Amino acid sequence: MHELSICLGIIEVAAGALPAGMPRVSTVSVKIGRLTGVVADSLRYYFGLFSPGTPLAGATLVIEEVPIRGRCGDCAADFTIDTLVFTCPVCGSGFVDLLSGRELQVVSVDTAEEMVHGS
Amino acid sequence: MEVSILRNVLDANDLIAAENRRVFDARGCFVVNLMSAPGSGKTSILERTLRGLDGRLKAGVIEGDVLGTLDADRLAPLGVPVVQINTDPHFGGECHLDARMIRNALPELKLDGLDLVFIENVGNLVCPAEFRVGEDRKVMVLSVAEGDDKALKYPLMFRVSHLLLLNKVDLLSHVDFDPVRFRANVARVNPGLPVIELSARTGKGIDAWIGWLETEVAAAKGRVPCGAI
Repeated sequence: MHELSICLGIIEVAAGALPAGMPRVSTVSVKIGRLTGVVADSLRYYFGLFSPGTPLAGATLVIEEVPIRGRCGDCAADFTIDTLVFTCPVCGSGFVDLLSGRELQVVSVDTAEEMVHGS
Repeated sequence: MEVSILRNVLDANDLIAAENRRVFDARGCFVVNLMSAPGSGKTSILERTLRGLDGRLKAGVIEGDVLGTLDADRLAPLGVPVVQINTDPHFGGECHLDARMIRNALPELKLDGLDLVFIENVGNLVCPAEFRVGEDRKVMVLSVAEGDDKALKYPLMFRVSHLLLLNKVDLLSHVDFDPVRFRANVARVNPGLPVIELSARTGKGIDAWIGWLETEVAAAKGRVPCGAI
């Protein structure tokens, strides 16, 4: 449901960070953690709707979905949480720090052409 | 040519949330971000709470809704300062409050003399969990009519909340809500999350919730305000 806000945030962050004179952007790469509940298809839909008219017009949004990873505060085990059980699978402790899964990050942008030197 | 950016999408929001927090801290206001699905009873709980506080803590309310002033109108007779935010000027009406909306509402709320500010978020168990607004504590409401499985469907909300108010317990005999299964599901997602069972309709459990608020406000007053000048 919050994909629109997130998408506008992605466009703002990515467009704002482009170096001057950057050729046409072909891809915008983002990391989205599973715990954010962001629906990738919905994000791509909004990106297609709102990127025209910005420096990202025509670019493809490439989404890397990041799994939820936890570390036990008692036995220090690292594990992936994919069944929405946030307790340690090794010792059963409830003191679990999240290592990943809440990412909403613009990683990079790529241009259609390589920088051409001379020729 | 690849250009590395590595920036968080919500950085701008979090920055404004931190500014809001400094404003609240400087005035000694403890801020609760109250979140739930639509119809869980946030406003009814607030009505009971504001009556129950009986002036022991001076409270103000920022009401967030997509449209209208129904909730602010309900709270107006209680004689506390209330500011209504509508999210509908944005495309489609935002499904959550963000830090910028709270910043824009702040000049309308006289913070001087307030101990406590409730921010009633837009009814939604997904999006509000993601957006900091400058609160000290996030409190979520779940009503028994919504079912005992919600922790497994909306884990982020249950992870980020500091307290869960289980509302409408007066309906327990009428709905298929298993309190034991509910507690087990909450424990799977956030084992440390305290739960207060209450009914805004009958008033049951409201004292325990007010006790929690008083303890939290007292603890906050005892610490050095962060960023206060």
